[in-house]
This record gives sequence, structure tokens and C-alpha cells, in this order.
Amino acid sequence: MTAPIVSVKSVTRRYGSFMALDDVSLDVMPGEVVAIIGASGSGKSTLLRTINHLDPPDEGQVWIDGRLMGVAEGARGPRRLSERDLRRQRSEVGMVFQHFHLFPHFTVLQNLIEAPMAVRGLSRPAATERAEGLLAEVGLEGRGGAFPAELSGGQQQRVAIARALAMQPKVMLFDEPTSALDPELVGEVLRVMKRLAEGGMTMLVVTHEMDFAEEAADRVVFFDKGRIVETGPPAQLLRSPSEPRTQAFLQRLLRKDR
Amino acid sequence: MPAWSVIAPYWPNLLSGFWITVQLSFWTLLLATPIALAIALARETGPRWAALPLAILVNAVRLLPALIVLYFVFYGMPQFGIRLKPFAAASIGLVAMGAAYMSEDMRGAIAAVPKGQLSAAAALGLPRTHAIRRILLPQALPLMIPPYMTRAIIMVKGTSLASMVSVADLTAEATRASSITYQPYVFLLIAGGFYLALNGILALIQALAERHLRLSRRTAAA
Repeated sequence: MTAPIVSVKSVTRRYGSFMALDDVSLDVMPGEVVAIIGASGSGKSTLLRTINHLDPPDEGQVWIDGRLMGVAEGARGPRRLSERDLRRQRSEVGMVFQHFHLFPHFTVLQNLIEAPMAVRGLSRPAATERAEGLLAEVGLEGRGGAFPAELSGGQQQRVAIARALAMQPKVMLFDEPTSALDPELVGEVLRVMKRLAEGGMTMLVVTHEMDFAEEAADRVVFFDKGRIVETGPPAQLLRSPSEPRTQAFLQRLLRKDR
Repeated sequence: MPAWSVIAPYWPNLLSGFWITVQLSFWTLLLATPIALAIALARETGPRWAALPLAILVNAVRLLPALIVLYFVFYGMPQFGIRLKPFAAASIGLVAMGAAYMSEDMRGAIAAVPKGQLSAAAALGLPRTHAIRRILLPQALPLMIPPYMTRAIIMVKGTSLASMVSVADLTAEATRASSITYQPYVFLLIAGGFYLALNGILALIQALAERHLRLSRRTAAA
């Protein structure tokens, strides 16, 4: 049996007295697509930020591809990783944000080549070539010269996906990637994500798009109050959830859709 | 208007006073700007242990009257064995005041850059200094320029306080000439004209800088 590429072990994260994550454990296999659903404030986004240590956990561990996040194996046992090494480690995990967070003063191309050049030491031509390939993949061929403000929300989010992919991450984290988009722009972003999933990328997707969860995810995780309540294949979890809290959440969603 | 004969004896002193004011302004701005930027960056992006002492320091200086700070440097410090020439004492006091205010202006501009920008840079693995230099500051600088230039003008005007700690600046020379000749309005008018000219240049730079920013932002967002 292969080892999980992401392994979250008993992670706890507090903000003051608020328990954002309460003893959460989750294993994700290489190539697996996991959709994380739940009400806002349930800890889904915090889980993503904990995985790449933008918010390091208070307790517990995160393993990415067999390496413990934030910890260096020294000759005299484990020690805390320096900020610099942590950033390097983090660059193996791609992240896409709800509000894109593209760098507005850079062109699309510069957004895509900045980190590969600065972090991976790629030459400008090499980084540019990779960036142009990725832009084509997300359906934005030839838009490298545009500034983010010249693009629609859906285009900006596709650039953000390409920017994360430019670091050739082992895992991609998506934090509500379509929640800030006009409804008619959601589809183009989900299509890119589905194609990425089909290409074998390991993905953790916090989402309210149940259709995406149903069609693209291998597994759905339902979150409530900082804990994983239920997890299972989409058909089972979304159609016949066993936990009352999951049922209540899905019913609320259905009612909103109508 | 009194005859030139009234002004003439004091004209060289007024000119040298003006030159001192220019020098005082130049050094104050030159030193206060990087200090203010460093304080603002440290408070907004630095480690948590640095934020509180800097906040206390900035507010202590910011909430005191400038004249008290100048008196403290010039009259107070010799008690601790630190004796400074008037120009140096005035410069230190004005830099401290100016940097405290200026750091608040800059902090506002830095805080106005969405937090997600640094999150995105961190998620990409960019080193913190790289993120500050390439992502944060280029977005904060355009927001900084209008309050910075306004602050610079206030600081140039503030140099007139140096006259209270025996610096022979423009204000000092003008008041001296007035009190000798009993012709205050002519000398204060001349001093005012010099200050207007000096600050006029800064105001002009501000207008040009803002126009340049508006234009470059338009091309970026077009």
C-alpha cells in the first residue's frame, strides 16, 4: 500500500479561546481529490492554512510526502525549521485563495515567474516558458502581458491556479476558489480544476460547490465546529449521510439552492 | 514698504538663516525617512516582540510637544553629559519627532495593502524580505506619497522651532532683525516668502508625483 502524501495527525489550532481545529486527523493519498465541506467558521479554511503552515498548528503534526512540516531532522534530533527553510518546504504545497490574491502591480506573466525564479532559481527564459505552458493549460494563452485588473474574476482565479502550479507543487490546496466569483464565471474555474484532478494532482478543496464535490472528488469530508464529523465517497456522503449534522447541513444547502 | 536700506544690513543674515533652514530640512528629512520606514515595517511585518516597544516609543515622542523634545535634547541631555551643538541638538529632536509622525503615515499605507498579498507570497515560498521588497512595498509606496509629502512640508515648517534652541535659522534671523529694527512685518514677510518658496518646491514635487502615480495606475488598470 502506498503512503499518504498528506497526513494530518491530531492537529489542534486555537484562536484565543476559540477552537478552530479540534484534534483533526486526515490522510490523503497521492492523486486523491478531497472535497471539504461545512458551514463557514467550521474550521475548513484553517485546516488548509495549517497544512501549509501559514497557520502552524498548536498541537499535532502535518506530514507532506513523508516530511514533517516545520521540523528539521538534525543530527541531534528534530528542531524547529527556520523561517527560510519553512518557506521552501511550503513552496511544495500550492495554494489557491478565495480572493485570488494575485499581485496587482505585476503582469500575469510576472505573477507566474516571480516565485519560480526567486525560490527555485529558474532562469527567466525557463520560468517564462513554463508559465506560458501553464497559461495555455488554464485557457489563458497569450494573456501574459495583461495586468490582473484587466481580467475577469474567473480569469484571475485561473491565473492564480497557474501561479500555484508554476512551483510544481506536490499537493494543491483550494480555499473556496469559486466563492468570490459571479455565478457565470464559476464553471470555467471548476473545469480547470477538474482537468487538474484528472491529471492526477492531489487536491484538497474547501468548497460549497456540491456538484464539483460530487463529480470531481474521490472523497468528501464534512466539517463542523473544528472537527471532522463524517467522511466518505461523494455519492454516499452527499446522498445518504449517516450523521444527523451532515444531513442538516446538506438540507440547508438544498433549501438555499431552490 | 521700508527702504532697502532697512533690509540691506540684515540681508546676508537672512540668507545664511535660510541656508541653515534648508540644511536643517534636508538632514531632518534624509534621516527621518529611513528611520520612519524601518519603524513602520517593523511594526507591521516584524516580530511581535518588536511591535510593542516601538509603539510605546513612537507614541511617547508623537504625543509630546515638539518644543519640549527639542528643549530636552538641547538643555536636558547635557545633564547626562551629552553636550551637543545647537544644530545637532535641533536635528536630533526634529528627526525624532518627524520619524515618529512619518512612521504612522507609512504604517497606514502598509496596513492598507491587503493581508492576502503576504499570505500569497508566503504560500509560494517567497522569503519574507523578498515579499516585503517586491510585493508589499511597491503596493504601499503609492499610498505613502501623498501623506509623506504633506508630512515633509510640516517638518520643514517645524524646523523654525530650532530657533528656540539657539540655531541661527531663518526664523531666528528674521525675529532678531525685527526686534532690532522694530520693523517686524517686513522681516517676517521676507521669512515667510522664503518658507513659501521652499515648501512650494515640495508641494510641486507632490503634485508631480501624484500625477505620475495616477497615470501609471491608469496604465496598470486600463
